[in-house]
Amino acid sequence: MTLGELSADAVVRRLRTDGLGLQIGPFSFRLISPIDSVAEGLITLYSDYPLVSDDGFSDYTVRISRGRGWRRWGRRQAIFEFDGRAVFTPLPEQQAFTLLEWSMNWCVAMHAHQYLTLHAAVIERDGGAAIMPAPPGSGKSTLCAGLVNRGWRLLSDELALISPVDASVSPFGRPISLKNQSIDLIRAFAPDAVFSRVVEDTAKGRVALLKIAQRHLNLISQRAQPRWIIFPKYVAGAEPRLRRRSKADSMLELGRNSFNYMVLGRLGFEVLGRVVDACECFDFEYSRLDDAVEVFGKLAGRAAK
Amino acid sequence: MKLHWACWDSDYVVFEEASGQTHLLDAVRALMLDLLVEAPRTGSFLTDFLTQSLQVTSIDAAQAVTLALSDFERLGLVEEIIS
Repeated sequence: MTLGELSADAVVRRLRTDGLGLQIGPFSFRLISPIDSVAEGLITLYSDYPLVSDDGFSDYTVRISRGRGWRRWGRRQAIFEFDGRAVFTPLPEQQAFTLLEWSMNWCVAMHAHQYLTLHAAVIERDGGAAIMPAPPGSGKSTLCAGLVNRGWRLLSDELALISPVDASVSPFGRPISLKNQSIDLIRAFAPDAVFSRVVEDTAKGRVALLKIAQRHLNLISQRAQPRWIIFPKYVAGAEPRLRRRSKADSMLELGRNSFNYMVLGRLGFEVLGRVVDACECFDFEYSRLDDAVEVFGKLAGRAAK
Repeated sequence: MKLHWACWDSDYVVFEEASGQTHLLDAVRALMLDLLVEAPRTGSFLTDFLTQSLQVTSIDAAQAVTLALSDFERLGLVEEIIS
């Protein structure tokens, strides 16, 4: 049964009582919140995700609570609680759904040490995964959103989950977080795409989340082998430029972009080494999504030959 | 000290198990570090080794050794033994 098969009232009721259980790739979440915008966001963006049973085990319980005292009525706040403890600074209540998204990322990044976890988008074509690590502002999410609307499969926009056993990447496909001008850019690039409500004035500016199409979720249990490591960078007005990058330097940069490389120690080094060994490494500058689609298409076409 | 290596072309990545730190080294520095892990070495031993192996002048080799040892020490990869 999927979330979309529940009535809106049932979603709200579950969120307000024992929690709504969702299976997202390899993880199960129990989500609890009395805030209406959390229910609205889930109904809009997670309708195709399977529910987990009410009495079943969940990997993570995420509670987005209301502020206490006068914060319940004036200048309302949303608070992320994990194991009964507030983890982040409370945010204005209109940001409750984006807080839920960031909280789910936090749960996995901080605890899922059965994987080597990188802060990176991952997309796949013909069985080969492109890992795209990048700092905020590099255009990673915009690029990812563009490419998954042009033939690439989304594994994740935020977290690359790499198996220490075979260095494959597990999908953790969730809505793509777009900021500021990228929202209108992707609306124009993919007119059929479904978005959450736009939230203004977050720490990252205007934020909206892009729903993941059903075709990506149908393959959410299908892992992919890393084939490319691409460090994207949006440069206004730039012509597309794909330049080979040294593997050793790429490995160090990936290590810096990992949440648990240091936690895994030697195992992390060995897994990362295997990933880099299997991949071609590039820096990629771009300013137009159509250019990026063409460059990535050529890359995939060359690998298929 | 336990080091683990990865190598592509002439670039080396070394992982130091005790600290969990990872470093990027060129081939010459990788060779020097490997010699130092094997046994304590003097600067003049390393200089002679590089002069003979790489066919560079002893002045260039000595300069490379001094810089490398200083960086290795800063990164906690080696320590000076006062005899």
